[in-house]
Amino acid sequence: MSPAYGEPVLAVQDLRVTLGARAGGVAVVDGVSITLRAGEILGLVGESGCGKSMTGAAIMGMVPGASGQVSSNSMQLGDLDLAQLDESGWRRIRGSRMSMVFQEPLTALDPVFSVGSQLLEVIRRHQPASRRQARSVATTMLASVGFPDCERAMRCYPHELSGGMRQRALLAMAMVCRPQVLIADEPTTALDVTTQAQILHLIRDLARQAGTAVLLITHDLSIVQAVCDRAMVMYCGRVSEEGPADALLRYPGHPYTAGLLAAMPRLSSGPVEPVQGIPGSVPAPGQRPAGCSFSNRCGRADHLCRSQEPVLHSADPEMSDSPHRHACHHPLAHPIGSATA
Amino acid sequence: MPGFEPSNRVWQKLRANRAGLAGCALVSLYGLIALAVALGWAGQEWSLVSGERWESASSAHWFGTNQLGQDIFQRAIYSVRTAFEIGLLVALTSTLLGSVCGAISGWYADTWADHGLVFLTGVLDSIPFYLFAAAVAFAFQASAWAMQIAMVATFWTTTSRLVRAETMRLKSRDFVQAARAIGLPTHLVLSRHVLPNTSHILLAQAAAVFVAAIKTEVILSFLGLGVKDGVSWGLMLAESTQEVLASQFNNHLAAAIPLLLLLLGFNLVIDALQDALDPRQGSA
Repeated sequence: MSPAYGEPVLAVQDLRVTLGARAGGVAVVDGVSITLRAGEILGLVGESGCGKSMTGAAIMGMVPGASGQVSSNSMQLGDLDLAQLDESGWRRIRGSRMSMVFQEPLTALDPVFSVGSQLLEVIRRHQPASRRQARSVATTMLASVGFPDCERAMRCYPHELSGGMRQRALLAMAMVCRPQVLIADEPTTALDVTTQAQILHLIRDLARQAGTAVLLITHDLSIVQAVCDRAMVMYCGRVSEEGPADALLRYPGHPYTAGLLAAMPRLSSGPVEPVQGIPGSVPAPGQRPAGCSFSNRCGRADHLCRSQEPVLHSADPEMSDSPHRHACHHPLAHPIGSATA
Repeated sequence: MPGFEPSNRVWQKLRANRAGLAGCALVSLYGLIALAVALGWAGQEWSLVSGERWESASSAHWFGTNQLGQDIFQRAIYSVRTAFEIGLLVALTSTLLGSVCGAISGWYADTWADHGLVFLTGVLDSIPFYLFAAAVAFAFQASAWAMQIAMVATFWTTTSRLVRAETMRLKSRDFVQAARAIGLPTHLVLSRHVLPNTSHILLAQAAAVFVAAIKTEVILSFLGLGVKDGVSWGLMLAESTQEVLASQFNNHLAAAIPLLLLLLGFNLVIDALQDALDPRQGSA
């Protein structure tokens, strides 16, 4: 049933999300194309307000209908055309073929119901299982996300669990129907560092086992380094750079990616280097500069950048179909061939 | 914290509140009396003329008799059942109506459905309460449920308003988004995840409506718009207006004191409930 590792499961072409249709409309996601492959983790990186969470919501069909409009050239989940789905079609997909993990594990669990009853709700919604079958599926799932005593965990209320355990419970809810796509929106931001690593490795292991493609939304490049196969950097609703995680982190082409990397604090034995931030802040939607939207914060920007918008192109001048691509007129130079290493 | 469940915490807080416990005991006592009357174990001779006019208290007639020679004790006891019947019915119905309307209004905030409901509650609330209840009871006079309809029509608006505000607050919470993300349709998101999280409001508000219904019953019955078959404290008070002029206070006191004690007990319970259920108080 589940597709082979590496096979594309979700393909989105030219996704746009426009907010505030009444007031003319502002594009918060502007022509993003994403392909997710089975068992693979794609890191979606960017500062707050760059449109990464909205991209996740649009893929789940959960952009609030009153305020946002979603359009795309195509949106395919396997052989299913998501763009053609009505609301009841979406409801059949959500939780079963596509699911979601949220940033704040305490508020993402309903405080008045036990972990078990919330997990059973997902199972019974999407699987024709009897009460007993559903219960055994639920306890097995809790065991596989690392609960030591599943029977007790079933009866626990969210406030009785630690942050890491709550996130495990949410992962159990998200993964119990073995979805093809998991959207994890900053899943570890609210957790302490040691728990972060455990949860990230758990996500990776569960995804590999179930053949689930993961879209991991984060602002933290060290997370990309730790678990992601591929990475995509967003700025102002557009993709500024994408590629294999190693290549992108080692040889960033776009000055924005390089800026994000320089802003990462590092532990080193040498003299302490001050962490470098990117000057300025993300412009509000609707107030973006003409041309390249990063031009007003970029040290390399020139007349061309301020007048003409760069398009995504191969980072390797000798290979036009390189998986490492960026949208920059004046990319940082790296040794030939290193971009696809 | 193993075995430490929220229901335990609420219970512990309730137990620590002495006034609340006293209120609980008082209300439970009334509840038992109401049950005994409903089961036919007590108060069945409320309409029987069993003595002379205005007999004073004796072992045969504990509270004496009224103008018609009916036993006042029997009537006072039977009235407990009347009060509970009306209180429960009105509290349940108006809580149900108010929570459904409030949840819809809050979920679809700032749409035509919400505007319509907010307008309706605003209009109903702007009419002086007793005037409106009396008018509705008068309009539905032919129906046996006139008084109950009048009360539900006026009481549901407060519940609706409270639930609407809470729904708007809960709507943006992650667990409601998570409920959508597992594929639940809106009516299940509301009934399974939003409304259960308003239960502390619903419980306290239902208790408040219960009290208000009992008080309103007395007033409407006094005005002749209330209880039609049976007896109630309101009817007893209405009767006693003539008796008081003849210096006969038994009927009056036998209705007023039980009413006062029941309302007092209920208010103590409501206060204790609000303290115990308020998630902002005490350590979590």
